[in-house]
Amino acid sequence: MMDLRILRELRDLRVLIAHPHDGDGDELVRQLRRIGCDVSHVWPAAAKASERADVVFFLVEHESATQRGFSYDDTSLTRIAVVNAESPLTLRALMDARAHAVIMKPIRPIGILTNLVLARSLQSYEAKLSSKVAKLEETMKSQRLIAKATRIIMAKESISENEAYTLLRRQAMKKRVSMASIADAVTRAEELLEGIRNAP
Amino acid sequence: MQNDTLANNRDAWRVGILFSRSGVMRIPQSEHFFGTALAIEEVNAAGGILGRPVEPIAYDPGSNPAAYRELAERLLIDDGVQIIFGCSTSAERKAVLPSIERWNGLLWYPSLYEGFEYSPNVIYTGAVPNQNSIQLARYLAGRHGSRIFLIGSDYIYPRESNRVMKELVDAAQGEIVGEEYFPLVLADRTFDATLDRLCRIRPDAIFSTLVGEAGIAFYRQYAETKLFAAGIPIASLTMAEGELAEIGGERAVGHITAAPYFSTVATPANRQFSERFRAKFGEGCPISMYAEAAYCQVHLFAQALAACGTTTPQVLAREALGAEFHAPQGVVTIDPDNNHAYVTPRIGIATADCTFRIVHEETEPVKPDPYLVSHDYDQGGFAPSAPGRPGVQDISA
Repeated sequence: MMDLRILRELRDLRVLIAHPHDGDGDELVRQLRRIGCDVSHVWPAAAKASERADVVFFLVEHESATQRGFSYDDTSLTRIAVVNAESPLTLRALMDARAHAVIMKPIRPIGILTNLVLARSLQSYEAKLSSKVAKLEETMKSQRLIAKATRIIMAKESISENEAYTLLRRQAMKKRVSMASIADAVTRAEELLEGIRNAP
Repeated sequence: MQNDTLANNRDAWRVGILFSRSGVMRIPQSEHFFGTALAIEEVNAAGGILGRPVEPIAYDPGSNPAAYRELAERLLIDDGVQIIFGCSTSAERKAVLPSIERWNGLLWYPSLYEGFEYSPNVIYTGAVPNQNSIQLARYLAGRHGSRIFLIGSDYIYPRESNRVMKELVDAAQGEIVGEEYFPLVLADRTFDATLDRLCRIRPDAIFSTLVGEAGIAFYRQYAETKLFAAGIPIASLTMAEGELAEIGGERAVGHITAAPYFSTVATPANRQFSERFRAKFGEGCPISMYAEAAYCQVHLFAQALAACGTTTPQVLAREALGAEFHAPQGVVTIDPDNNHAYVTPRIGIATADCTFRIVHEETEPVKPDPYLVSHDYDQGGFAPSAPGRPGVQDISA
């Protein structure tokens, strides 16, 4: 059976509408309430309003006119742009906002649910990828530190790479910390000693 | 529908009618047509609306969705009509919707369907799943068990209805023991293999979303099986009195339908409606939810038009939202939140005389919730503005 998790969660979503209080804004609010979302409508866009939102529908005009009440880098916020022109400046503003979906003005009820679901799905995938990238970066950093610390111990103790690595790991287990932090301590200590040795 | 005296009346309110009198959907849609015709006749007999008669222009799209679109455009563009009473299946409604919105018409749609739609240019007067599927699943689980076999026509309504049914069966810790889909137009004896499988599996009940002639053919063939003899029912949201007459009463006894209306509903409004319907279309003409919803929506239209005096869709729709009609099924109200109707869910068991014995009915109309994704037994539907949970009355004891 297909995954309906995103659909099931629609009624728990807090949706912020950052759009003027006009016919289009009101149509958007009504359709999202029909879908069953918890909707708040704020204009002008305010940073505080987005703190409690899972999804924001925001009006994109040319770059300088687009109101930014929220961060374009927030990976937990689903961003759906509302646009009324396909001019180059609007399109650039759209890309800067890293929107997950777009709806065109005038607002029609059909298409809002589709874009909301697609945007949630893309945002959740994007958030997953970002957290995976952050973890991989962390791992790479640790590996570099461990390699460096291993080399230091090999030189100091005149032992093999395997033996140096085993020493490091034993220390980490004994002190109940990660290998990366032991390796970090070793390299920092080495740098400090270098500094003292080379002091005038 | 021909009426030469009215056709020449330049003051008439011209409205379009798009129901199939031919093709695979001719049974339910002829009933839509009869209900519409009766109500228009009543409105005209009572002096019309603001002194002007209603003049229907009717086309027969022959159960072909592409023809619905073509004929809807003919009504909106060539005939200059803004109001259309029409469509039965979702495929038909979805075919006309872009034209209705583009040419700014107002479609009155009288059939049950699967929900997940809202157009400001449509008023929906049939049931959505929170008004029929939940009640049916609850009834089946309580009376027959939760090993359910799903059989349907292959388009959006059956697949969405089955999605809802699966969820409800899951919630009851039941089991879907089969799921099969068939084209709308069938060859002879199409169901032989399925019926063999059904006899081996022996489910507690079969949930059928086969529509039109396919449904009738299946019920007929099913009557020859030992499952039918053993009283294992077919449950449906679409099989009404007209279909029972076509299947043959004896061959449909015991099957279950969930709908807001059966001809056996005991309300004064239904007695009057039935008398007038029979007087016009004959004693033998079946009366069903299809006729009733179509009848009801013409009266809602007439009330709204009398109040606002224009067929401009936005003005008329605004007037219709929140409007109430004392329909044969009970009070029907158009929900201003979503253009769908509050209707009264009921469960009926087919009897040999091609009517239904009503075994369950809700004590009050249930708010429509067309965008409800997750259905469960405790939920009469999400209703932020409705007062509490709708009451439930079991009258089968």
